Amino acid sequence: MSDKTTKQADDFRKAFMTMHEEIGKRIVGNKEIIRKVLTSLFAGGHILLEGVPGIGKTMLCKSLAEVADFDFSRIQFTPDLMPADIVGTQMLLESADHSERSVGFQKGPVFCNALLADEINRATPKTQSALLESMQEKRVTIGGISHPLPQPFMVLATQNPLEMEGTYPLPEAQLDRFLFKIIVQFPDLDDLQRISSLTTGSTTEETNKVITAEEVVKFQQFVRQVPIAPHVERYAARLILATHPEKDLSTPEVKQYVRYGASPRAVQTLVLAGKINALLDNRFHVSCEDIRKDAISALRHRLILNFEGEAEGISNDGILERLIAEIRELPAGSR
Amino acid sequence: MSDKQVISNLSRRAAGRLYWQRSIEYLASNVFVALGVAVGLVPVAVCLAYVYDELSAAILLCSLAMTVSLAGLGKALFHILNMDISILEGAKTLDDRLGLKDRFSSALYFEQDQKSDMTAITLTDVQNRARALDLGGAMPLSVPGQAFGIALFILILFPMGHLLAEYKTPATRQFDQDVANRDRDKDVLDKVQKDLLKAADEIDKEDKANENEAGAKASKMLKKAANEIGPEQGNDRQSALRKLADKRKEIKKELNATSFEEALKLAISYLVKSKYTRPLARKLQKSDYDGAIAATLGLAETLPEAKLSPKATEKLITAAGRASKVLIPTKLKPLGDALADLAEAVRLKDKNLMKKALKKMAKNMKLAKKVNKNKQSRKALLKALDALKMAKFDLSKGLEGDLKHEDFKSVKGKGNKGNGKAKPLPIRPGPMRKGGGQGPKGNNDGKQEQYLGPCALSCGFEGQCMKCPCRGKKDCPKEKKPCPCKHCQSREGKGGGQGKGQGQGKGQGKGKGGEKPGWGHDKKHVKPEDLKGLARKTHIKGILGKRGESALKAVKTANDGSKASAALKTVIEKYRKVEEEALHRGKVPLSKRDLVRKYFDAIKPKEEN
Repeated sequence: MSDKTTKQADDFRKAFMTMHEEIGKRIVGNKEIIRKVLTSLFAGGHILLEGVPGIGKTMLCKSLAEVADFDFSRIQFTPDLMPADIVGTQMLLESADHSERSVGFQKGPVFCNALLADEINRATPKTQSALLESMQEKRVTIGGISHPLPQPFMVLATQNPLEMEGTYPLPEAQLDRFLFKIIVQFPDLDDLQRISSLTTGSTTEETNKVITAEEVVKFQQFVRQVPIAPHVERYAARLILATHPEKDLSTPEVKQYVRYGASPRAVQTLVLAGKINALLDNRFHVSCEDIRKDAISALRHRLILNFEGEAEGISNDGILERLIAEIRELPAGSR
Repeated sequence: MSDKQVISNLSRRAAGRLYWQRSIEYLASNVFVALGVAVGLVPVAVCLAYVYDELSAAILLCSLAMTVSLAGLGKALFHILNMDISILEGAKTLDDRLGLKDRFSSALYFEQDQKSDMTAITLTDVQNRARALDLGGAMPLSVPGQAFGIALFILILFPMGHLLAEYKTPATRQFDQDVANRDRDKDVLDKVQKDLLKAADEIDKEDKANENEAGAKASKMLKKAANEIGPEQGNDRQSALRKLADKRKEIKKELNATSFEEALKLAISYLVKSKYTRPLARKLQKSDYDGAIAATLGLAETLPEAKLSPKATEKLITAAGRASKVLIPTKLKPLGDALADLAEAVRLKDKNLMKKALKKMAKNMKLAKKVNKNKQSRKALLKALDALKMAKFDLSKGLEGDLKHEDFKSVKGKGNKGNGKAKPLPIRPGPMRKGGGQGPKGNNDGKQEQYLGPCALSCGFEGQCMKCPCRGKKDCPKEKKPCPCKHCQSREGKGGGQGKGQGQGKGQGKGKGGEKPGWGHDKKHVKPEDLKGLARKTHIKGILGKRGESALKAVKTANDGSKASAALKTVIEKYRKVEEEALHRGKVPLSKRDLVRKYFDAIKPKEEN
């Protein structure tokens, strides 16, 4: 039995690494971002990618869908996009011989394994809210009927931080549903050169399908089996509590600049990401280091700054870095 | 040890080692640092003591160092006693030390609650690691590097401090050489001890007559110092030093108070505390010393009839007594004596004594007035008035004709007997009467014939004032100025003999000797040390006349009854040489040097201080 578990863990690591390599063929640099995207995939979460145009956000999502043999949909979010354009709608359907007519559900692009919500902040809040149920419950309810989404289901949303004209910031409830918010950095000189050579030649790098959707679901379940010691869970919980200014654990920066801290979803995120990190490190237990590894990506979009923080241009990442440095793994008197 | 408990046991042991390691760190951070500070200060203290000859600063630094050390020790003990290390902390520390990413700490839980294959795999892995683990190597008990640094610092400072303490300046080396050349084999310390004892004895003897408390204290201190220096004494040197330093301050204060201004100020501050002596204080404040004398007399007149409450009595006694103590060593000695006697009389509540004193004063006044009628006796009147002002108000002895000898203690020489030749009264015609006789000698004219002070005008007769052209008069004929020599200024002998006689035959006869002894006074009190040990015990005798009373007077001088052969000034110079020699030669222990120095400071005459 333990051999089976060990083999599953090995398979998981192998799949993860293979996918990483395949995506890396197209995405130059940003290996850490690819790891986080794959972590989010196996944790069953969604990704919000933020970065300036042209740095490969969409390419990253498309590549993920390709290597995982996923049904891939892309929605370009615009101000006139309607919820029905995403989730689908009830339509009058006519049989082929035109003898019968019935009202049926026309599935929207959300019914896929990987949904690329491109420039998600350009749609109105109403349209953005169409994704709330699908992201959390992984189903769509129309006309009183729930339609489950295919498994695995993952939303990869992108947003542009520069163009604020005509955009609608994502509501907190929507943001909270993303496992990670990943800031895609502008490539450096070497990466730019590689991008140039890869994309301007006569041939393009082809990616291989290395994993099926079923395998992904299986690994998602496997990941959840990784045990975690109570003191590590408490560490994750204390990190979350420390983001709340009204709590004793919070740091002075949090007290000064944060209006509202991370939700309980954040602790789920930290633990799930920690479990994946533990497996990738060939361990069957989660360490505090695993928790810390993706803490900033998991928490940065869940902190809501107050007016003072916004006015002074305080960075969420800066607050979180200090917070993580200050919270001890084992508080004094731990038993 | 069962396999199931291997991780718990290991974690427990790790927790134990963590406890000791943290204890060591606390000790290192608190005690070692504190001791470092302490030991760092000691050489500084030694250097201070050596370079500046100031042991009190060294003691202060050492005390500070000890306080810091004790505080550090207390803090460390508090932390250690209150430290509580859990097993989980032990396991976590192992994880951190070995980079095991929470393997031990997680396995500690999995050991208690094994749920899945994954926990079993983890547990097996960690148990294998635990068995192979050398806990001593993984968690060595080590002293922090800073503590080693401090220890090194201490090791360097000790010899440095010693070297600095032994450092000798070129002057010191030269002195050592000189001392060595003298071929002195005797133990200097013993010599100092003996000398101190000797000096103490001499001061005792010399000051017994003076009733000088400061001198007595100095003597006591000298004896104590001698005992301290003696090897058989095991007293706490520091505390003894502190006590002696306090005493020294006390004595210095009293010695300083002998300067006239300070004494006067002090006396005024005492006198204002009683309503009866307040008028006197006001007079003194205005520098009206004659007025002060008069106020004292007035006070003495009113006191016998006054009804004093116990509180007022107490205040009066305190004020008069304390003021007298500070005034006696000054030029206002007569006033001081008067106040002292007044305080004593009030204390004894002896109205008779007061009345006697008043009677004495009144008689003197009356006598003076009577004489005033005689133009020829104007001078006598002035003398009598002067005597009245300057003399001590002797309440305790009344009109017995005695003079309180303290008034004359600085007067060298002896009073001469009266010559017995009274001036004849004017011849008046009258019936011839039988009788008459020779008036007896009997009045003491109080004249003084010895004087040793130089004439400041350099009139060619230094130290021989009676040979000086001024002849003891106030105007020096040479310079036509008041002669500033001590004799003329302060040691004017005054005496008076009054003759009374009855004519025999026609206006021929011899006067009878005076009834009263003469008065002598000394305007300025001279310190015993200024007498240079040459004063002698002197007796002044009056001869009993038929009507006059005799007076046998013993004037005690500064060295009365003593065997001292040298003045304090000379003695101190002598012993200072011994002191310096002992100190610079380095034979007196460092901790004792300040002690010796302090005692010699304490016994120095005021002008040397």
